[in-house]
Amino acid sequence: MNKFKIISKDDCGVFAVLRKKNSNKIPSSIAIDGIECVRFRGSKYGAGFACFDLNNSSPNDYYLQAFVANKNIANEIKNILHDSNIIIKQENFRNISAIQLPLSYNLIVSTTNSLHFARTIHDINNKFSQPEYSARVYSSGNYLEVYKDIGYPLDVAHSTGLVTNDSNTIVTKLKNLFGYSQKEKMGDLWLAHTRQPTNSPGSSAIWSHPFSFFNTAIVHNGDISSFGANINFLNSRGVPNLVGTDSEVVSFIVDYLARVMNLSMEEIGIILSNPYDRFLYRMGADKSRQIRNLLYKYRGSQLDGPFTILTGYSDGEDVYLLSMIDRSKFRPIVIGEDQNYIYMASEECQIRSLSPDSTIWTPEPGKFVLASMNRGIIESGRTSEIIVNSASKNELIQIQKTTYSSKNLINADDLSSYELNRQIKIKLPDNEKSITLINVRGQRYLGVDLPKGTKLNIYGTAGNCLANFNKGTEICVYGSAEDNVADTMHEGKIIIHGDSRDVLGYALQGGKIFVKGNVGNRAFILMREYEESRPVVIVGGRADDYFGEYMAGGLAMVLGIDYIDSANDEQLVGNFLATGMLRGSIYIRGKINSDSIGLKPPMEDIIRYLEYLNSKGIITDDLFKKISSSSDINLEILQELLPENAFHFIKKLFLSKYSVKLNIEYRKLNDFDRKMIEPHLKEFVSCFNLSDEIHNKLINSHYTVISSIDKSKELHSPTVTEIEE
Amino acid sequence: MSKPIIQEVDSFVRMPNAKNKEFWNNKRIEHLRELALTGRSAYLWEDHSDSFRILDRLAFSNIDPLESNKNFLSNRDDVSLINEISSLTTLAYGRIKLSAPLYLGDMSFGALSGIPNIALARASDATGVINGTGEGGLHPDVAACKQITVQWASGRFGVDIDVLKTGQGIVIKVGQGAKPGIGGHLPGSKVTGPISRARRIPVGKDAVSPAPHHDIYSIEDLGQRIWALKEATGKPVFVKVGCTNYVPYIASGIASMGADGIIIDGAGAGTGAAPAVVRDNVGLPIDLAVSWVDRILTQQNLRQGFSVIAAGTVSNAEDTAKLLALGADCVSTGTATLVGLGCLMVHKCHIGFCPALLTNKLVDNPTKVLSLDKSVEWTSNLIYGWIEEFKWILKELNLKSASELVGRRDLLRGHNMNDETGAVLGVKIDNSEKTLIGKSPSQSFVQDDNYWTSILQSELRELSGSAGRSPGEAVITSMGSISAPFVDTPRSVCDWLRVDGAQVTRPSIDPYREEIETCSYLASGQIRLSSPIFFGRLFEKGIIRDIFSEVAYSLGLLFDSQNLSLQNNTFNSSLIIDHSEFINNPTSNISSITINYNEIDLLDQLIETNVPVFVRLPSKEKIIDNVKSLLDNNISGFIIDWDMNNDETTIDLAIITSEIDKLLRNTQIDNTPARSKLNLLVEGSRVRGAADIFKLIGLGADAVGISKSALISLNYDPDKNDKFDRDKAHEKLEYFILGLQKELKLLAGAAGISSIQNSLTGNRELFRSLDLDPEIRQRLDIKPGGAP
Repeated sequence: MNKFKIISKDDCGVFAVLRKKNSNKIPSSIAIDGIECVRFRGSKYGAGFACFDLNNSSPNDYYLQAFVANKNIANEIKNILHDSNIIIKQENFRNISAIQLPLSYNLIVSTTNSLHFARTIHDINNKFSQPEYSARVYSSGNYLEVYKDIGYPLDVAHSTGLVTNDSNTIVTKLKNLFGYSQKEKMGDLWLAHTRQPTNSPGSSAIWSHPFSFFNTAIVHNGDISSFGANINFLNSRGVPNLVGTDSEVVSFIVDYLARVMNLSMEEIGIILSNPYDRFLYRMGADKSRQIRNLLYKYRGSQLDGPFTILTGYSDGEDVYLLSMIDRSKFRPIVIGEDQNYIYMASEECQIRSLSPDSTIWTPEPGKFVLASMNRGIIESGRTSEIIVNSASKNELIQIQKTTYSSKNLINADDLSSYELNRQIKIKLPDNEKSITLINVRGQRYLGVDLPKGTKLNIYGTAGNCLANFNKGTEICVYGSAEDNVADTMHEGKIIIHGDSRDVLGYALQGGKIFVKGNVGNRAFILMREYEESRPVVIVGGRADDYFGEYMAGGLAMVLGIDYIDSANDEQLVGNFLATGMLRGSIYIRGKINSDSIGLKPPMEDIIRYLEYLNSKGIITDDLFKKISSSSDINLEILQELLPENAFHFIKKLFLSKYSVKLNIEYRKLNDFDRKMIEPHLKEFVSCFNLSDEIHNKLINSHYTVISSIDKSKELHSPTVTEIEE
Repeated sequence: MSKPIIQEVDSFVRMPNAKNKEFWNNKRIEHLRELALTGRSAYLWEDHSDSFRILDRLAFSNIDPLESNKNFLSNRDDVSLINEISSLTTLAYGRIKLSAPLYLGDMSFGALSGIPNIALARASDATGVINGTGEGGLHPDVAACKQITVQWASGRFGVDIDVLKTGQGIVIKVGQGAKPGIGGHLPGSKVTGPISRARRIPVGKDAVSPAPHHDIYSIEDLGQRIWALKEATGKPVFVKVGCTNYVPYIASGIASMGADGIIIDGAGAGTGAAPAVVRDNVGLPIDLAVSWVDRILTQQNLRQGFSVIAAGTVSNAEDTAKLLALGADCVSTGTATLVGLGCLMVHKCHIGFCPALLTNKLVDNPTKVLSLDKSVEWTSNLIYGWIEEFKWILKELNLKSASELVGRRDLLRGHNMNDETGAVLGVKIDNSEKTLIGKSPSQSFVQDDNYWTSILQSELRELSGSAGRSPGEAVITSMGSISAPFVDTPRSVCDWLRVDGAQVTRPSIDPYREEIETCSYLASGQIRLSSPIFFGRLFEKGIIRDIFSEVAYSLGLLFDSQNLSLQNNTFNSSLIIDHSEFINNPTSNISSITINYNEIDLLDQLIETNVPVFVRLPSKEKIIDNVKSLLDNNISGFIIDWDMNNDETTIDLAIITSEIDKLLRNTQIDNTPARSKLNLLVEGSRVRGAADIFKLIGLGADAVGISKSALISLNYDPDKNDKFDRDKAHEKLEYFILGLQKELKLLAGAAGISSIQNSLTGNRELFRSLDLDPEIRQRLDIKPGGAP
């Protein structure tokens, strides 16, 4: 075939909701509300839903759904099924909105030979793909049905028959979760998607998500850079005829590994999210060999590039929801759990608007989250205990109920980002300096261009790009803030009572940021100082990977207040802490493993070089054993232990002209630190009404202190004589 | 204190003779200098008969360049003939009005030394075109100008809400043509007083711009940034990207996200500093991209009012006209304006001592500067002359205005190019002779002495530390690429392949601060390589082999050794040894054994030993059948050796690598594809460096063997073997490998992949070919560049 297939690159919003064993089935309106909440992440070019329902099927019956150009094509499909001895039990047609393949041909078919059925589907897809698509099977499972089309999620829910016109009012009102119509479609698990294609054929629903094959369905946000390798994997294992999206590739891989290779969802989570080799090393020889063998066996199926993928799968016994994110966590994902349901979504506002009191957390970069209907959360995606600011959460609900008295009040409910920002500008007369927003549900760009001295109170979940370019506004969020808060902020103050998600304080150049809860990936990267302008940031909870990457000034602290009485040395930050840091000071409470700081060569490479030095007689057997048995080898340790010539040889593995050596200490705060930190810490403590006891404990804790090595020009890093304590 | 005497430079330095074939050759430079000195048109059609650039192989079908030049010269003084012709251009849905489709491209204060920045901005005000000011804040004199755009880049240097509101619009810089997917690093030594103030960073401290924007990992993220900037400033927003595999879709995404225009910067564009391996291998030239960008935007109803600005090697009015005809609204030119200010194309911007004073280090009290007045005059003249030539070209084409030319692909014909390339450009192919038109590079075999160019050799030596001052680091260079296939002659199939740069839909990765895995596992995980590199067989004997085996061990690689005296038992575990040696002296701790394909009757005996066995094959067409017959044996894989039985039936390693990879993928053993069990190692003395290694892996190799390039990097001379400093050579060879590893990481990071073995092996989607013979292209299974 010499025709170039269109490759579609998608970026999108995703949502999934799974019921727990003893809860009622989930009505479609919850799935629709959950995805409509982030309608702005998608476009008119496509949306879709998948509904898993265990009770509704026998293992030999399949819901077969295909988009077809016309009824003649459907007849041809029917004939192929007949010829393949696949029994048609039911069939109907539905007109959808797409211009190409405007008809959905829905069947219930029966067969006892699933391998043969799979081949028949491939044959159908192959036959009707040339010269252009005249039919495409988009769903073929026992336990799930797919509803997808062109349009926004609500449009698609209508065109695919998920909702009828009279239930329209229910789903558009996000708050109103009561009184669903009994006619609604009910399920054990829903996946939902709104699509923002980079390339937008926009005329055919075959590119809409979910992508599904047998009992797997996926929705995806991102762009898989390993696409070509993944296609090779599938083609060589007998899966031909992909429509050319990286998302579809993933659905076939999951189906292949689960159904054909019989792997568990845990194994699939590991293979596809492709853990860093260096983290496998940390697991010890046996475990790492086991995982490496698994990865090697299925090489080519691992995913690279940015992705959040929500996968639904059923084996007929249970229903699974698996979320995978790439190891750099380039795409957003938020997990929520309440008494009845487990939620996975692109943004916190999607979950909060459905379940204000749910426990919400984010997985660590590269970690998968797995839940099932029968077993609940199986893998939480965090190695640490999940502490989700439960205290502040209750407090927040209280505050939300009582503090709506300000006269400059805007109810953000149902306002778009654009409308809300217009209202703020209108409501902000020249002499007025304070404004309060309530019922904020993910609206973006708040506080990006307000006059200096303005005070903005936000109740709810502040959306992406809060306080970008801020030059003197004070913003207080009673709730969580989503991604990219305070990008290129020069002046002002941001107080967040909940969490703040990824990329907080990018290129922060002045002012203060206090977060009571946790912060996500890449907080305070490129933060820097210039002359008198020196940013100060304090995080009350914990932080994920790349905290302070490229940092070039200012003060950043992570306190882990919830762990303050914990006996264990809790790792309050993720990996790659302070990588490429040039200047400034970082204080993390507790002892951080040096393995998590900066970027080191792989341990195997270091050990191998030591073996070489040993075999050449440059280091002794004893020294080799001593160093290589240590779990934490770093450049400083090598410098200390190795003879000079040996260090000279091995250091080339570590250093480059772009690397900056960091000064890393673990100690109590000294006088110098206290003088610098205490005023800010006091402010932080009073800001969140924390007790004096906590303040004292914080002051008396041990910290991992990271600063650049350049002492002469570094105003704020302690000199050697000051580190007496 | 007495004021230092400042010498003002107000004339051009005479062009030296270029050592290498240059895109910016004396012909192009002299033409621009003439415009800069006179402010008048010089001639319309340049002689490009020695150029491989695709744009130079396009011609307007109804124009005979020689006749047209003659006609122009006799009428040039009668300006009234072009009075009626309009070069006016509007951008950003009509919000920005220009006197001509000319954007002076995005060179920062810091990359340029101040005076040129002011000159470009003032000349833009004077002539009514527009100047993109680059990342790094505004010089106060630049900020005072009107016809400027300000840049929002990944480092956020020198921007705040007030700066963003200055000028006509904001450019979100996602990527640049010279180094798509690569960030910036201004060393502390260049952060002097004036730079410090503009960027708001301390004097003497490095300024790092990360490879991606860490708030933009996807198209919806970009949309979010566009609207955040619009919400805050109300200004038009443009997005500047490098020209990469998916650029038509990226353009469509950018348009549908609400941006006002796209600046597409093609390969060959200038840069103040870039890793050579990236500059010379990543991204596509602009000429291949514009046509499909225009067509996809039009198909999707996104074209009207949205601006397409084409950049990268735009050298004159002729290029401007051709790019407009291909579908751009406007062109952007950076290097040409520097040439108009006296640039000598010495490719040393990154050193900080520019002989033309354009990119030299900025200090508070310089002793020698460019004359500002003269610089403004030169640049204004250049623009006036350029516009005049452009109007004459419109006249020759019987058009009345610039906008009438946009998208007129029907006026163009492709010469000396294949039909596929014509289809990508959307132009008809005309194979008749045409004067002054560029040639197609030949695809014939290049002899050894012409194969290892002096630039290549010196880059290899820089990696090892035999030359230069940064051993083990990727080689840095500056200004536009002069590499194959658009400037230099392609010397192997790999030279026709370009690597993707990740941007907009996925982020690139910064290999200096973030994890990119180079380790590779072979033989079902029994062998671990720290990089997908091994030392191939050496023709040279003696001590040099010992050094290779030691470095193979110390750095966790393999050495495909031959006749090596196995003295140090430890190092054996990094050796692949010949089966005959193994049979004579069976040692258990070697990594693997290799056996020639025509001696496989001994295979059973070897396989019993449980040491991995690789079957060695020559890079020849006929070996495909041998591979098929061997699949049932319990071997670990194949080594394809480019040097083995080398004769006229030997074909390029890239082709055989790709075909065997495909064969192994499509053949099942025990219900699993053969490829999942068997490794493919490829080697040859003609494998040059990181780019070849990266491309061969992309075509399906698990690891690539090098030999001669390593010897070149060491300056190894077999005749002086006795004077050879063994320790130094060892050290250099280690640096060489570490340098290659860094370059591999840069290429992987630029393409947005974080694991070479998992994501690169056989991932042909990451590559595009440039006007490659379609038959070879199909054998490689690589798509033609520029096609969607």
